[in-house]
Amino acid sequence: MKKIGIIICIIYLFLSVSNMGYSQKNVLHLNILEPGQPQLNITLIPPIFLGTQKNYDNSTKELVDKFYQIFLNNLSYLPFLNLINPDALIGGEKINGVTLRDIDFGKFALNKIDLLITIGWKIIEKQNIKIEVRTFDVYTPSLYLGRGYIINKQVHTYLAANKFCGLFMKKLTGRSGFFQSKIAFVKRLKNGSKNLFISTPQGYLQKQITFLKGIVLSPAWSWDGKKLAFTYLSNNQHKLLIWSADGTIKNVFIPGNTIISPSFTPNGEIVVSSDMKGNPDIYLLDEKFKVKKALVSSWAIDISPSFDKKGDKMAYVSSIYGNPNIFLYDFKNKKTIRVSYLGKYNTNPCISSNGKYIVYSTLTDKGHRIVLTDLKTLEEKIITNGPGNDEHPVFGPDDYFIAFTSNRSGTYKIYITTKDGTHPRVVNTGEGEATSVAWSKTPF
Amino acid sequence: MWRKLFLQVITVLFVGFLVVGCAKKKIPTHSQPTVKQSQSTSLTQEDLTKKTTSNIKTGPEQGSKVDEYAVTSEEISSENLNKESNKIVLPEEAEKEIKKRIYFAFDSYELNNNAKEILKKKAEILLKYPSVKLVIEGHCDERGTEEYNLALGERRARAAYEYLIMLGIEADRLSIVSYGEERPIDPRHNEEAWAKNRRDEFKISN
Repeated sequence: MKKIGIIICIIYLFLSVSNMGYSQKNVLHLNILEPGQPQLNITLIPPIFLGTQKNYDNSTKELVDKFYQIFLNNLSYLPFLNLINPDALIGGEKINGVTLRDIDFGKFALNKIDLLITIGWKIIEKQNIKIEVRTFDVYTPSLYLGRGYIINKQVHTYLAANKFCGLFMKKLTGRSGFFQSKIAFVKRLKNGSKNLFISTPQGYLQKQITFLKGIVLSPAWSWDGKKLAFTYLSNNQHKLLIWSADGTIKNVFIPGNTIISPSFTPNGEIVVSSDMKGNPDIYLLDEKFKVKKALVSSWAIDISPSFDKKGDKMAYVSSIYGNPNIFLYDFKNKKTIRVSYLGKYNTNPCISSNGKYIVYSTLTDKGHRIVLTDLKTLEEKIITNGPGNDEHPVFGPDDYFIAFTSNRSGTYKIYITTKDGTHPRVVNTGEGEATSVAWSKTPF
Repeated sequence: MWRKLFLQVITVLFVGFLVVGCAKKKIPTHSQPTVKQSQSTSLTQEDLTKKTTSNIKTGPEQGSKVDEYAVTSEEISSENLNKESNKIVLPEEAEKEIKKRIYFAFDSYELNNNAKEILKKKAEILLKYPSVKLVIEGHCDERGTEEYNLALGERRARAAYEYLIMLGIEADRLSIVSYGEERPIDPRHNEEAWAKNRRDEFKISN
């Protein structure tokens, strides 16, 4: 009898431990780079005032509500989360407070909620608002992630929501960067010029950073996120310009009439396509912007270099077989392989930071589409469906999200999707055409 | 006696070498339209526009080589450095012919027979009016992607450039620029518009 009791205890302990392991591995940690991940049900309870008496005005409440809306919007970008409206919960959304002891987790478990987020706020000195955000694992139940922020103006609401969501994504998936990074893109202005703008990937905190009279094309971030190189087309001339975070622009003179698709290597050198020898070839420049050497040189068009984080691999476009196709050069073994075999017109490659994938655009009968290539198997998969043209894909810093331009709405805009092609979302870039998106690799 | 003769021969050879050397300088040795100076500058955004303008005024292709052309006395008077009188006026028909566009197939920079005929007529005019300089603009339709179209536009402009050189036009009278898909002449999204937009344009530059 005693033995049976011990065996039951061991089985119970084993089940408890294995169940905990399941919870940790399969529910609260997701490997989003692998296919077939489950979706977690998550609910965000509206902000709860934690003060003892109402000592705030409407503008303060509006800031808190703004934070809530941004937070909610941020979560909606994560396709591995299924956002449940708290109004729809059986038993209602009401909680007694924002901490572990204030919450009846049974009710949320009954609604199959995996993660619960609470926001508490109060006024502290000098009309600052203290916001506390907590995420709970409903099934454990335990605090999963908690952070506090002090805000007093609108820009803080974006920054605080992005900071928390960045930490949350990092803890949940091991990947980060989406909420801490910025995108650059080109917008056509009413005066006909095309200038550079930057914003968060969701379109927050948008800012025009160049005010030039001509046409800006093909921006590319340096790996530290402090510089943007781009082609500038004006007065019948192509120029290579480099914008720095201090607002200055360097005009780099390199030989050639046609300057195309500048890019930064991970150690800060610039690689650009120029026709200085009669064909657009890809050149590496030194720190003084002098030509160091040709990386790709042929009779054909060679453009659009893109590097992985180690600088071991370079994807580029070459028309050496007659039509534009994607090639991959491996600096270690000094070998080039052709990567694209779909269709006859493949351009705009971007290699992921980890060097495992390439995205590019292919021309189909229905327009351009985005293709993801697994560099291990060279398997190609079209991940967007238009309508119209989906072009110029770039990986985000997490190698999970992809930004691209599309005219599916009639005008070219920036869209965000994932490497699986899920859930394309338009980035709010405001009025006018937005193209040539570049995604910074480092947090700002 | 022999020493004097030897010195005379050496002198003649030296002068001959100088003459031949100078003559060589007048012949373009390669067909690169414009090679920019290899230097970099830090500029404010406002300065950038000024600097650009300044580069164009002082660049090697902009009038600084006026004295190098073998011109007749009549042409000398029309090419003095006074800006007002520096403007080149071609007869209407010739100007029309010079500005005539040439067109390309999709993703191609091959000159078809019609384009070659048009370029031959341009070459005749350029040979007749040696002070005329051309900017050849390469353009693409919207179907390609931006960066590749920029490269393709370059190849289209260069195809016309090289053909004109082959027909005897001096390289330093021609420059090329690619606008890719940035300047369509027909904004519609159909085959008719695309065919019009895949083109080279020719602008007279002073």
